[in-house]
Amino acid sequence: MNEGNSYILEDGANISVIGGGPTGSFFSIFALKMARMMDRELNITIFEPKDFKKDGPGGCNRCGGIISELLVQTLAVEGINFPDSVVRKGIHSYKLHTNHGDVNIATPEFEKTIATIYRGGGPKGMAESGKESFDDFLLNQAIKEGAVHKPARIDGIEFRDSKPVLFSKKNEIMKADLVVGAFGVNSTTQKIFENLGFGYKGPPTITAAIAEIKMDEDIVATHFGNSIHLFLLPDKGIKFAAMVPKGSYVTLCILGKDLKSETVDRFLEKPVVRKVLPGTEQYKIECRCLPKMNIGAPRIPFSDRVVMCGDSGSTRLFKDGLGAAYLMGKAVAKTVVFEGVSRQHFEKAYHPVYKSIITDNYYGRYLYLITDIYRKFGLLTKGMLEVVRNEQERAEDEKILSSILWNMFTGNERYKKILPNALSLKMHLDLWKVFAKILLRMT
Amino acid sequence: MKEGELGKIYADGEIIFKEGEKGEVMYVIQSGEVKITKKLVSDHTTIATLQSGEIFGEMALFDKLPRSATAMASGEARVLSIDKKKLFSTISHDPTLAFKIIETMSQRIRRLDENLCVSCGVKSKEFFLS
Repeated sequence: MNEGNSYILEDGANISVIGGGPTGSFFSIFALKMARMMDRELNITIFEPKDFKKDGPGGCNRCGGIISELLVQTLAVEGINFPDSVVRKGIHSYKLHTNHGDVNIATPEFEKTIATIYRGGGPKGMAESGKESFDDFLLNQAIKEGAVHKPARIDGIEFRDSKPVLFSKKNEIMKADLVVGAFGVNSTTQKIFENLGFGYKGPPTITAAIAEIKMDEDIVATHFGNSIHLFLLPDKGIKFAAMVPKGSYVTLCILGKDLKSETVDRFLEKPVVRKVLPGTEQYKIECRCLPKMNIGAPRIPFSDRVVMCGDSGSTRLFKDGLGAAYLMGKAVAKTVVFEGVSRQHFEKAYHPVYKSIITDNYYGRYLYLITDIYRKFGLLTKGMLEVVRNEQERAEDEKILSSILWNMFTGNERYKKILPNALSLKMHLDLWKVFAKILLRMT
Repeated sequence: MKEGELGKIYADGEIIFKEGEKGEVMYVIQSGEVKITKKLVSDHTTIATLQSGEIFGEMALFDKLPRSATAMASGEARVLSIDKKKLFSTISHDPTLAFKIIETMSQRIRRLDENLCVSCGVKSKEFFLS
């Protein structure tokens, strides 16, 4: 163990990870793999009081539960393949619904490259379904790599001899060489890190509305297929909504402003949504919640021997939170193994990744602003749908608008990389031709 | 295909790619086995049988040469494809993603060395000392 004050971790150094969600597990998996490559030994303890195997609110991590194509493929290359007990449904397409019609955007050859999952054990009664929680699967991968899981809640951290000391139920339980804050925005742990005095302040959040809708598995298959159903409607306050099929459930996620519990009921009554759903007697809202979603990033996410990542740091705007968890967890792991654990080390090796996500979200904000305009004006919505429909006959690399929508809503590509396509002259010519046709039809 | 399965299913004997074709994707086996065969004069010889979790088809992505062998499902196999452009773009941001591919390639070169030694009738230690 590191007896001195060196910020380069030595053999036997103790790392405590606060939070056993995807970021904490990704950090632990990669830190242990990389340390082994470098012939070094790290002791990683993950503190997570929640039992992810539990069904109902006890194990729930309040999330839409989509693993993007990019993350599924990247993790497969990393050697992390999801067993079908973890994946609730393999997804091959997104169906975009508007008040003016719908359109399907699919993967080439309908290969199922997107996974829907439950972060916890799923809605009440699902524990016996033989399916696994995603967070539990990842936590077990970290344990297989050598991490130790302690089901304790950390309720205090103080510095002694320049090293963080952790407390649980007021008892000192560990003196660490590094503390990794990998908790979510819905956790109360944030306060402990804010009180450490290095300038960390939890990220700004918005409220999302999530509901689990129960129906027969056959009905889910018939009405939703292997598609995520995305709704772009001109409603004030709702940016977009998605219905995510998962076996005998469909997860409804609504993003917007001032969302309340009733938002879910009002949304389900909309004619365009009713068209997708079976009859009201065939489904039941099993549970609903209003979780917080990170939409910003703390200015100071690290100090000497303390680093924040995942939702407690920065994440991708509205999409692919699990992809951000992978990027950040791995970036911190690389810093810790190949650089060190001082503020300067994090500044040099982790901050560029952290900042790249923040910068990318600025591009995301601009793209969502354009999408807002398209969803609010009927002519633009109709034009967008017609261009996407026409593109389905073309070769993959000529589907410009389809790929923009696919990459934006699946979280498959950085927003920065989507933006140049959004400025494509060819796509704008296609759009203007279609707008002119629609206007002519109207007159 | 079951609810939670990812990738694409190939039936027993179905070709995933053929020797000599241009390679734009690599693959990761999700379930089942994939046989890698190479044409020698007139016959196809099996050079490897790969299992769940293993990657294949990566060589053509890196050396830009045509596929060096044919890959076909041995029994029903489920395979996830990885697009070249996406993979290289991700590696450019995070070169450590290539660790696993390098590890796999190293293991295959080691296996080839051992097979070569067996066919030459020398022990691998002697081969490397010679």
